[in-house]
Amino acid sequence: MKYTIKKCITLFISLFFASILTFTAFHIIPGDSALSALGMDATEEQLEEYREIMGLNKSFPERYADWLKNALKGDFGYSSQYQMRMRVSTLIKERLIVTLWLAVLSFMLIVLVSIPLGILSARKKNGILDSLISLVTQVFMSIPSFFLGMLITLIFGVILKWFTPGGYVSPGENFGLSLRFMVFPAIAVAIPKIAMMVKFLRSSLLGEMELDYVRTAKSKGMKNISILFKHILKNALIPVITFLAMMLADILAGTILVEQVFNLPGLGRLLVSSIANRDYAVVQAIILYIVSVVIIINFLVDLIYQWIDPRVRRN
Amino acid sequence: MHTKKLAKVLLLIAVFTIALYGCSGNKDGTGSNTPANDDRSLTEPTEAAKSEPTYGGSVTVGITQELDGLDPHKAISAGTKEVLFNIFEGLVKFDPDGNLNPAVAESYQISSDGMVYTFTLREGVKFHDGSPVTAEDVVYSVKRSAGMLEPKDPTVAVDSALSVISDVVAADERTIEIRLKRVDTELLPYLTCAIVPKDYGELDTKPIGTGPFKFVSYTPLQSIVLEKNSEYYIEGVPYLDRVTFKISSNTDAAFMELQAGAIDILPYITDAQASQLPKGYHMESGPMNLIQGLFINNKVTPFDNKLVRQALCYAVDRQAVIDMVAGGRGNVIGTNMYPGFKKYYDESLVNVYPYDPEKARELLKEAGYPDGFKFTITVPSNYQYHIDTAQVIVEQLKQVGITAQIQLVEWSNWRSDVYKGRNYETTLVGLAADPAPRKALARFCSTAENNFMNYFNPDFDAIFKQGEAETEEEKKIELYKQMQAMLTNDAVAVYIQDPHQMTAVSDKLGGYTYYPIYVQDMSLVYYKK
Repeated sequence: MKYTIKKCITLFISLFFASILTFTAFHIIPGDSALSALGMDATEEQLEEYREIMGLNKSFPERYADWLKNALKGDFGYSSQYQMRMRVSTLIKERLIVTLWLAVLSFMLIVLVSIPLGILSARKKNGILDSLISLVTQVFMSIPSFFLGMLITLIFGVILKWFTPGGYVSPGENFGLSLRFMVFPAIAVAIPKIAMMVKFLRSSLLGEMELDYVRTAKSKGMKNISILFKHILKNALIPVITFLAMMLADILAGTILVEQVFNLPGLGRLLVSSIANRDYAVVQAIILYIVSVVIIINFLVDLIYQWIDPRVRRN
Repeated sequence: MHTKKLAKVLLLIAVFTIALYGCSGNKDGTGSNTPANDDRSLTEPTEAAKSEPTYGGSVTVGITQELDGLDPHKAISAGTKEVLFNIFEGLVKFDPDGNLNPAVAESYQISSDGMVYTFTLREGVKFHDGSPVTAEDVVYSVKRSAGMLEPKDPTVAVDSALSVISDVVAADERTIEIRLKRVDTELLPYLTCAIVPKDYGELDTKPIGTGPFKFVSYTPLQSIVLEKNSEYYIEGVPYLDRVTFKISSNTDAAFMELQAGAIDILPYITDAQASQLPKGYHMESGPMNLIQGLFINNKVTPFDNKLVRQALCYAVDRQAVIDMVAGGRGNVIGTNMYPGFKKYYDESLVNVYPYDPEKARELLKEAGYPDGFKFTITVPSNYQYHIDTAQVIVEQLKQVGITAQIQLVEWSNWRSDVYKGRNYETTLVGLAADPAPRKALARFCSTAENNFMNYFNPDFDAIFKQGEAETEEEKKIELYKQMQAMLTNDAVAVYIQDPHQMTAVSDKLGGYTYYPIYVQDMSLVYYKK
């Protein structure tokens, strides 16, 4: 319980610092959201009026305090890149669904593909299959997702026409079609991560196999396969869970490039266009989301650890 | 005991997956657009197409800029205005030749002293919701565009050109009088400002206009969908039933979609893309009416010396730039005027600075820089075209011993540092056309806020004042040409070209038309028989 409270406090402190950092960063970089909103040829008078109304004239600490006060109430204000007074929360909510949908699909792919492959690779250690898997994973690990994305769009979208590049339908509207559009970006996100995961799982399994308890089990006369599934796997999975969780955080926060490549209307694209337009409110909210995701997932991993392995708590 | 732990681990993975999976199931009905290639079934145009228009069908146009709003009086980005052109109309409207035709108004008269414009409403013009356009709506719309409504809405982008209006009144049900503070012969092009229903509160989200297309839906970062306005007052227009403007994150992504057949029309393609068009598409091109130039800060050394600026002009081979960057598609220009205003534009100024590196070197020597000098060209990083141009110019300047360095800046920084802050040496960009020629020259007045080239010339100011007040067209043109010549002779900038805009168009489509202003007019586009 104490542990949980401690972690919660860390979470809030981290969020606080992250928000100050983004706010400061925006304060330092050049660019003017009033100019973005009113156009290049707006007169100084018009700009001044806009700044006054949007509260851009206030001092830096004052603006931060204002923002924080509203953010704590769940009000992130209005986006400045759209003229239609669009609420930041609405804007983000719509984009978040796209990003989450992509993250879930790719995460499922990672889990479903990498765990069997990793086990297979470890069991057939140094066999042909293992060498082949090693080779393939080595190659895919070194290809970044966005480049894979381009290749996939070219091959499956342009040449084979299995999907329409840039197409997106929300899953609520037409699940099948949505899946068809989303599977390819998900593959692009998943492949390098699957490769990493397979390698990681393999070495983790092999490490466990050398330990004394495996020898004991063997001398008891257990079959190799049941030693693997009954004893080795669950011990080997503990570090794997951390790794998976880190990946999940990475996917949830980092599909920006892939979204650009596949033209998905997700958070990543919103973030890029918001930075370009100096849309403070939106950037601030997205950064908070990313930071929260990373911290909360780490926090959950810590909790899970304790549950699986009570030794952690004692230490 | 141990099996339990393993079960826990696996259970956790499962819970993780399911929990997150559940999150994605939110059915807010967001993202309510469909890929447009599904509803293209209406027409089956054949290859052996004669250019005979048919009615119906739907078209997807690729755009690479997010819309900044749907309210025509608030939107400022050119990328938004060119889409909204299909939904809204003003009292008058531009045609593809750059002439102003009556639109919501049927006719207009200008009083002999030039102080009162009287518009007569067209009979039977309706808004998209079916209500007739009244004189009250027009008064409201013009006042709103001119920032004359109280209380003021700071998000309405007021065009300073409309500030000359003193009052707008409805004389009777079909007559509107626009009264001016002083004579202004260049007001009419700005009366293309959109006519919207009076006190309609949902312009931001459900815009209603009088144009050839009605607004259907808009999803940020995805698309805006329009459908045919079957009650449009011009008989036989538009041809298409539905137009989707699909928003892509960048030109490369949009071009990929075009290659996959998901986009029918893609404007602003690059030279490289034009040469890679897939089967079933062709390229159309026309002048952009853009002033592309190497703009110089006339106040910083060494550019405060006219000889240095002139040397730059002689050292740049403009035709070679066009050939290298755009495959020869572009027209060399010599001064700060949009070539689309044919009457006002002085074409002879193109020949003032022919490519002459010898002369450039001489001028440099005379100015005290026999060994050349170093300077930076600031270019906004999102405009590949300008970056390419700058690269060619850097090479050309090496020939005369000048070392130029390209500095890429973000567009937002460019606006605040270069354009507003005037903190730069030279910059390579394009100045987009305005509805009236005066704006091209107004920025060179000493007191102009957008005089980012820091040009100060009392003679110019005097002639500008004279030209502004002049009501006789012949004399006005004469004065405008004088100012253009002044700018060229003072070498305020290295004027390069009016680039051509290249658009990829599906072979099934006809009627894609270029305008001297930034618009994507879909009302004339049709499927060929």
